[in-house]
Amino acid sequence: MKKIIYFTLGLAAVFSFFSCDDEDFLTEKPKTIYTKDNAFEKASQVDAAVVTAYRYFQNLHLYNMTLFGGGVGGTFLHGDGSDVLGSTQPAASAMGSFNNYWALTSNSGNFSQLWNQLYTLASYANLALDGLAISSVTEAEAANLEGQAKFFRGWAYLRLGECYGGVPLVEKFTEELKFDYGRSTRKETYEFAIEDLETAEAMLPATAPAGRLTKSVAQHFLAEAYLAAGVETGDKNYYTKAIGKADAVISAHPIVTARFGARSKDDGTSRNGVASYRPDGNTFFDLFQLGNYQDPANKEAIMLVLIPTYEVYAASGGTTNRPQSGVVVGPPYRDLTWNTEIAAVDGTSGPWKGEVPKTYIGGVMDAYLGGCSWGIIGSSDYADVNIWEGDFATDDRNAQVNLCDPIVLDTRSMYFGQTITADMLLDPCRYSRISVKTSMQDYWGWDMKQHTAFGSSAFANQYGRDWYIARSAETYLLRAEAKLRNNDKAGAAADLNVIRARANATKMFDASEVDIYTILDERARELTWEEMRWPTLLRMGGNGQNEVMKHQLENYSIAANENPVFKGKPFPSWTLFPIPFNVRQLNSGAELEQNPGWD
Amino acid sequence: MLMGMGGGQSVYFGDGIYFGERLSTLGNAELGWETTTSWNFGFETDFLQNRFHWEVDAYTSKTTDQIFNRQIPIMGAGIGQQSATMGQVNNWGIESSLQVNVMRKGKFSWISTLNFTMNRNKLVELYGDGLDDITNQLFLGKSLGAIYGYRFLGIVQKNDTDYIAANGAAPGDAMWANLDGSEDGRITASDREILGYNKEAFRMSLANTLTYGNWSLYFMLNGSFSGGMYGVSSNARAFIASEAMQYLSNVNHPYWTEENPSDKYPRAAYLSNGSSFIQKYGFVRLQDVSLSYDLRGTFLRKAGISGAQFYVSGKNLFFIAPNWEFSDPEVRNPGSQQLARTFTFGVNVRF
Repeated sequence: MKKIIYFTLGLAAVFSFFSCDDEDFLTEKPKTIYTKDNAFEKASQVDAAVVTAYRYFQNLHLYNMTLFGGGVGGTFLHGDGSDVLGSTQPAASAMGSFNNYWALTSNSGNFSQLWNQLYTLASYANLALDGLAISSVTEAEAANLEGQAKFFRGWAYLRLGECYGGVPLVEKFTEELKFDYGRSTRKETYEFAIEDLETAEAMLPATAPAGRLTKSVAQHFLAEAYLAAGVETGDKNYYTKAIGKADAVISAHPIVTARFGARSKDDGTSRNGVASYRPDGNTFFDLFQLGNYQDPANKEAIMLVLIPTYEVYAASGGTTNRPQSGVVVGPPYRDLTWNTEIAAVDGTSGPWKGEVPKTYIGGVMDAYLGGCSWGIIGSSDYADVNIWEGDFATDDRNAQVNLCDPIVLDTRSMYFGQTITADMLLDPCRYSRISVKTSMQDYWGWDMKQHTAFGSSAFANQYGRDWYIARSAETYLLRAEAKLRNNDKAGAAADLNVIRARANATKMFDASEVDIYTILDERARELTWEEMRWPTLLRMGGNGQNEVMKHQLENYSIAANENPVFKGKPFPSWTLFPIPFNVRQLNSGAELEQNPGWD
Repeated sequence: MLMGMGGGQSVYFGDGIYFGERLSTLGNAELGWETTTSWNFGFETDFLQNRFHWEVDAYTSKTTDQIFNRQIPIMGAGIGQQSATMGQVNNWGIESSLQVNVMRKGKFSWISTLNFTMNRNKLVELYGDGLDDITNQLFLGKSLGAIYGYRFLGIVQKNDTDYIAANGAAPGDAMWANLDGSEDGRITASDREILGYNKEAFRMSLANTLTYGNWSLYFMLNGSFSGGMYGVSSNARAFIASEAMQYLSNVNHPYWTEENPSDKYPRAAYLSNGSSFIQKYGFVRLQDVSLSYDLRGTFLRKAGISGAQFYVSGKNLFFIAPNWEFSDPEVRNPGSQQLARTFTFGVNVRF
């Protein structure tokens, strides 16, 4: 019989130093291991925490994240599963995927990933604020840094309040484990967000390098936060405040009303063998062309995610953003298959399956530019068709150059060069129109270096183009909504008509025609792929009621409107996302009350 | 906290690249030594004139301050996990081997060795709060390796209207048990249970060496056995396709269709809860076979050769896994490379 005792080395505590009391010179201050106590001596070090917050903030706006395992981020917030966007494979109605509302539970992955991403963003803001307090930076530097950190925390809590209702309010970065978080009310969450955004507004500069926060960005999101708080509380003073902030943004960032940038003038130049000038283009088209996001004529841009060139990406050691990925966005080319009648006579199995010409035809994109073989999110029939019917058909945003109907690109097909319609295709793959925002339309903006460096078509449809986090067309739509809610229908109609006039739409709104659905439709026309549609819908209601969201999802979502399995099924009773299952489970010291309609 | 390029996070602004800092871990000052105390008990004995040789080794052990990667609320520091050492795991097990000289008669001999090993463990303590860690599938009082999920009842058919209405299900979906008995019939996170443990009930191997004159035959059967809740693993690919786009499947089986309403395989578009599709992976494998012939004789010595052996051997010639489908029961994934079957022919010559 023997007794053996094994000792195994445990992990050393990361937040610990070694020190020697007697001999000061032996005291180690290891600079290679940064902790909260030694990481914030200079302004640039506080800025490093702020920069990380930018990165999380950007990730919540980009469509890349699903692909790189970084969470659902932009894909979900921009409306995957809502009335405007959804799965390209609606028949795959699986428990836990976001194209089946009736199977969702509080344990569905999207909810916890979004929660984690928003709280991580808020934590980096808290970390920067703590660092600021112990650093020795000048007053001017401190104001800008505090403004940026407060903005990110305010923005994160605005989104948390919109999506989840009242959430735990965490004002300090804390390493101490805490298991008894309690929920605030939704009103308190909005107020917390508004206070931070107001501080940010006061402290942020009027201008900053592209991609950095300015006063206008804070004002734009303040307008949204006031709107959300107004709906929640019924206090109309919020709408007046929202209108005031929107006024300030619009005067600093007027929308673009004339063609601008490299593709607007017939100057004989070309790129990649494609003439720069697009005579069929228009102002809306110019907003989304390479280089035009930062063009001095583009006052409309309030804030951008800058997508670096490949050279910049390489110089950063591969740590910056990459161009957004076509893999996530657009029709699943590989999978679009002819219906049985066409398949029987056509010789090809689908519109893009075989011999695809390398050059685009007739100004219409080819498969490489439009997206990728296995796009997973497409626009709904509502965004593609319904909102453009009747009087609404004539509109630059509905023109082929901005919202393209894909054409048959297999040269062997008898339909080669013709527009594809949904009825030509076999379920279960959805066909959707292709937006100028997520695709190139032609090879003019193509960057072969990024194509080869990142490998084939995975990054095909965004090559080097930046991304709008906010542009003032949305500010107009926020102001229109605030005016409508403030009983100023004429003012709301006027704001909507500014946006419509820029798009050369023939239909103009009369005051009597404007209601909340008019505004949601106009948001879809102007902002699909750009706006955060889920937060928009979720903030339309409060106190267990959200008829607006219910109406939109029951009538227009891919799940309820296009999937034969669920067509006509009433939307479930929930009006907010659930507090994620694991968040409630880990909070063992106190009950985090669940939202109504969830387990 | 990682800074600079090593932090792996940077942002490109109009005036250049800025590096961010990234929190890599949340330290735990209470992390300590992991300690294992174990008791071993063993004996060996020979009986029936050394015809049988039997060894038994039994042990129990207790590991305290075992390090677990604990899930923590993300709201405090933006980090969702931390190393924690409060755990305790108890183990016990038996290892036994029996060697038998089955027969020795003239030029013929047969020696057989039977090995048996069995281990059980139990999670006694986790983080000191008396709670299970569902996210990491760690359950107090239970074995490590738990598979926590929904209980599979078969396939939803057209007439299962209540289930379809409650869960947004379509005919051809998998049907899961409503274990919490909720009145609305909805399947939620609280309907999960421990389905089994990804840990065999016991292992056994049988090795035989038969010799006859210059001939020698060796073969070894090796097995892991399922029993009770043990020896179970998720086998999603045996039931559902591997991705949503073209319903790519690594295996060919009859998916549910309206014409062929299977009660085992869901429709091709059903892709959920893969880890809840379980099968028992118990198996017996013919691990090694080797036949050799020793060439001896004076003619070799004259040629300056002290010995030569001709042999043929095979590894992994077959396995029997009655309840496991579509992959090797040790690989347990039809999408991965399976274990190779190898044959070797050779000559050993000694000078």
